[in-house]
Amino acid sequence: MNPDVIQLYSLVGLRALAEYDAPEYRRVTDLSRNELEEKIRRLQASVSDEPLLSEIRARMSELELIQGESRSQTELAFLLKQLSNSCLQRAQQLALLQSRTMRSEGTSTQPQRTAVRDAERPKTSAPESEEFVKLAAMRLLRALPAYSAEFNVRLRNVEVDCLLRPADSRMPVIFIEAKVALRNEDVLRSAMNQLKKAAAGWGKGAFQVVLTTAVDRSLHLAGFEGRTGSPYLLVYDQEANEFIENTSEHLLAAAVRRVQDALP
Amino acid sequence: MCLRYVYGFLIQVLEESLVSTIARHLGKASGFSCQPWLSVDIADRHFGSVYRAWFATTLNPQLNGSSSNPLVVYQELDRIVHTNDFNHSRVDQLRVRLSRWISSSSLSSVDIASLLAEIASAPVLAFRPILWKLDLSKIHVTRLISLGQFPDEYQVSDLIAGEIQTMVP
Repeated sequence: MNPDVIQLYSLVGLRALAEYDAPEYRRVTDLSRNELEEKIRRLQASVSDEPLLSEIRARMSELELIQGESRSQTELAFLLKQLSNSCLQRAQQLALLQSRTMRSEGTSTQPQRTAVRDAERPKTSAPESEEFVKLAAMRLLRALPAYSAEFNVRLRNVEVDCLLRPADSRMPVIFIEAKVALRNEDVLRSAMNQLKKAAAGWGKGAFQVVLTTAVDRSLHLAGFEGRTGSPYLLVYDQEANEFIENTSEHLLAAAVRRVQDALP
Repeated sequence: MCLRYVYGFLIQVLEESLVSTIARHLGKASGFSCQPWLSVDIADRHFGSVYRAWFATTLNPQLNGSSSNPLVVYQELDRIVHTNDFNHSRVDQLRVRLSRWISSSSLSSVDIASLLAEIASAPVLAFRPILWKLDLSKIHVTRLISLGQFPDEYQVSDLIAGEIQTMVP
């Protein structure tokens, strides 16, 4: 794939933007319209033997057609916006395809990988963990609308990954400690200790939850098997955005019961 | 006598051009801007830490729309990142804006294609907000671009580190 084609698609999209939203166009680029058109012409010449050029030319013709045949300013803006977005989306699609191809061929896309990795760095030392904790917490909040979530909360010199706080103080606070995978008992024990320290003094006013995405089959889950009260073990499937084998059922039922008790 | 007037006039013009800052022009010492982390990171890696940013002269400009209010944008992005709200339209809008900025830049088409892929696949966390305070007394008025959509919305396309103070990283 010639990267000029990708740029050309996005510039045609920009050309449409210049027509229907001048302030937004000025926000995103310093190029004048003439400079933009010149750039498009130059790129078109450089990709003259590319099979996708006819598709790009069709988009350019469409742009002219919309400008010539629209009956009102509203119609013009609407159609140009569609065209602009579709051109940019096509450019993004081709860029992603190219980046995948380059990665599989082993050629460099190093800046991209660095950026995506770095994007997560300043916030946490365990970005993957943070991602699934947030998603799981949001999934729980769907069933517990009277709660709000806080992440990486420090209490009594202990940091817990997530704290679900209720709007009403009569309802239980939910402490969540997350481990990407429970592969041995030490990991489980450290999560439990963390929760115990953080929730010390809360008594029945707190539920403790160990959250994970995978549990090793050989792991002896002392204290969890057949358990219906706190502490709870929740296994979250990030792709399905669901808790595996209804592991959240007991927690939600208990929390909802407390919410109902708290209501007048 | 005549030469004295000419010299005097030239010195006056020179002085004015030297001190004609945005602060003087707008009568405000500071500007406020909210940037997504990814745009700052791209500018650091590909544009020699020269930043293109719009700003307002107050943190919470009442007459600007929400999209041109640094405080509102900060709050909104902070919440989006906190809740990992990857379907939020603001995230899509930022991806589109960053992609358009990169597409029209002077970078090579190879870098542009690579950055478009990077922006399209960046996690929500990459859009976390950074709040800047700009020292308008250090920026010459000729670098100012008025956007005109809202009364307190301006743009500078070549900000450098010495003109920026990060209020909230």
